[in-house]
Parts: sequence; structure tokens; C-alpha cells
Amino acid sequence: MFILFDSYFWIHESQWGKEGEGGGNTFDVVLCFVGAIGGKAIQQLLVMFPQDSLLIFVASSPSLCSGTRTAELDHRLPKVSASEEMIVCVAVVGHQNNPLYIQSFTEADDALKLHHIVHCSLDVIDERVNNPKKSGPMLNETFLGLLYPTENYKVYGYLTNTKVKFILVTTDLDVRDADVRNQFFRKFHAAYVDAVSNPFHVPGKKITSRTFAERVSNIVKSFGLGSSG
Amino acid sequence: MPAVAPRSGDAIFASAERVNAELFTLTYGAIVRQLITDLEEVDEVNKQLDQMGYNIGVRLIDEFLAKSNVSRCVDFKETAEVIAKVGFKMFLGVTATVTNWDAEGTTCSLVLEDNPLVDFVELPDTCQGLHYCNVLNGVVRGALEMVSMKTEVTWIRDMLRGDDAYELQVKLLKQIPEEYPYKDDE
Repeated sequence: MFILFDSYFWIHESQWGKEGEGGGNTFDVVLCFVGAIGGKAIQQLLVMFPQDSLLIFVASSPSLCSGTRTAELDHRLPKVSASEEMIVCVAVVGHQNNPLYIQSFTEADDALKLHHIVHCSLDVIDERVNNPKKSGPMLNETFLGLLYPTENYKVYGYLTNTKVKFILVTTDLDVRDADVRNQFFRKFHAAYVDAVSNPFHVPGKKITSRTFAERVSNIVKSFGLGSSG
Repeated sequence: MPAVAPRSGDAIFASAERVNAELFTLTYGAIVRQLITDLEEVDEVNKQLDQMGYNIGVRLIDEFLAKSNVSRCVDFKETAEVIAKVGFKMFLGVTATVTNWDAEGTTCSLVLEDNPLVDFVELPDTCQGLHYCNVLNGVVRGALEMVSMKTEVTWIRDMLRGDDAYELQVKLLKQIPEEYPYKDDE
């Protein structure tokens, strides 16, 4: 039998995503497009299919591409260190969808791409807010959860009661929702509240506070450490 | 009438009615913000804050004397200690330390490590000349003037400008004889 993985989402949402269960399946050939599923997912597939089925990884970079599933593969895989799995971008967006604060935390020159992701996620937030699926005790919940997974990123949202949106983009695809909510957004919200309490901050205008920027970068750093450990 | 012992700043602070610190901080912030909008010049704002503080101080001194039961201070040194330990504690909830006395004993510094007025505050680049807490100058100056001490109060250090503490220099200019009727000669 033959199975094809062409997106990260597919692995997660399909029944094969549950660890160990895939092991009971006897696929002779597993074909994965690494670019689409993300390098991290390879490890997961190796756990899912521990038997002697042939895993084929297709990737644009030769170092990603390997035809066999041996121990050798493990160290030929891109080493995704803890520092690389991290929050790459955070943003505060006002109630009229005007950006109040946007900060990326990558070395690479991909600010535009991250801004684009944040911008796209605003539509997802609107959609969630206008079609609430949850009710009752969840009514006052400000955490919107995973907005959408992309190839390499996960995007989370948080909506305050004043319709200010916080958006988080992370490359850590194994991050837990509860961690994002309690360890990141709660602290981030507190930092935001203090920043807007500055009498020199004009509501609805960009947040220029250096203290806020510092606090945010500390929250981002400590979150990376907390979730990888 | 039996003499009443002076009360400590902590005791008065504990029994005083209080408001939420954030309400206080935000109210003060709103006042400063409004002054900047109205007056446009930071120097003018500093002056206005000082004047406001002065007006507060001349009223506050009576409440201070009534509640604290402090007796007459023998010298300016004692006055400074009372302001730092009782006055600041009573109205601001923090105590200051008195340091940097000069040789004549007429100039000293009140150092505040903690200042509830400036929670959340960050001076924007356009307001670098602003003494955000200038109202405190006025309060001290006004209060001392009512007990016949003419003083000059200036900021030496300000944490909003990157210093490590708030330092308020109090300089005693002259003591006005008490029986002399006060004349507004400035």
C-alpha cells in the first residue's frame, strides 16, 4: 500500500497523526513532500511508521532528501534546535484592524512575509468572532486558539474585550495551546495593559514604548525556554 | 489638654482613607498630559505643575500638622527628616531618605527609591525636558512656606530620565520670623 503526505495539516488531522497508531498500518511506501510538511514532521513520521516500510522524503534541498529510513537518516535530517523553534513574530492590532505594534524576532529578512501572515490572520479572527461556535462558559474566553497552521508556522490569536487583537506566529509546530494561552498571552496582555496606561500613549496609536518592547522580547525569550524544556 | 505624642508616618498611612494607586497614577498622568496639550511648552508645564503643587502644599500642611501631632522642629534637619519619614509616607505611601547635607545645614536631598506617580510612565522623546513629578517640588515648597521657611526645591535625579532614583534637593533660603505678616513679595 501507498500513502502520500503533502501537507503538515494532513498528518495532524488524519488518524495517522496519533502517535503509535500509524505503526499498526502496513504501508509499503510512504511518500512525503518535506517542503509541505515541514522538517519537524519527519521525526513524527518515523515514529508513526516504525516498521520496515519505505519512507520517501522529497525536498528541494539535497540535505533534506533521503530515500531510506535508517539511523543515518536521523542525523541527516535538518537539526531543528530549540532556539530555532521559537516565536518569530508578535503583533498587536487595534479594533479597526490598524497595526499598533508588530515585531519579528528572526535574523532573516522576512519581516514582510511575517507581516503578511499576520495580516491574513485578521480575516480568520473576523471569521471566528462573527461565527462563534462556542458558547456558555467560553463566551468570555479571549484566547482564540490556533488560527491556522501554515507550512512552517503556527498562528495563534487572542482578542481582548476592547477588540484589540494579539497575534503570535511561531515556528514551533509542537507548541501546546494551553502554554500559548497561559504562558504567553496572559503575560503579553499584562504588558499591553501597562503600556497603554502610560499617560503619553495615545489610544489607537502605535505603541512606541521601549519598556513594552523589552518586556515583550523577554516574554518571547522565556516562552521559548519554557516550552522546549 | 494633655500633650499628644507624635504619630509615625506608618500609623497615619495605615489609618488614612485610600484610593486605588492606579487611579491616582492615571489621574496624575491625565493632568500632566492635559497640561502638555494646553501649554505646549514643557518649561511652562513644569512651572504649572510646580504652581499646582504649591497650592496643594499650602493646604496640605494643615492636614499634616493636625494628623501627625508633630511638635515644633528645632532645626531644618529635623524638618527634613519629618518631611521624608512622616510627610511622604502619609500622603504618598513611600518614605524618602535624607542625604547630602551641605556644611551649613541648609541644603539637603530627599531621595525617593520608589515613586507611585510614575508607574507606567515613559517619557517620550518630545518631552525630555519635562519634570514629570514637579508637583512634588511645589508641595514641599508650599508646605514649608506656610511654616515660615522659604525654600527652593529642585530635581537632581529623575528615574524617568535614566537616573537610579528620584532626588529632590531642598534648599533653605531664609526663615521668616513668625510674627512678621506674610507679604507676597515674589
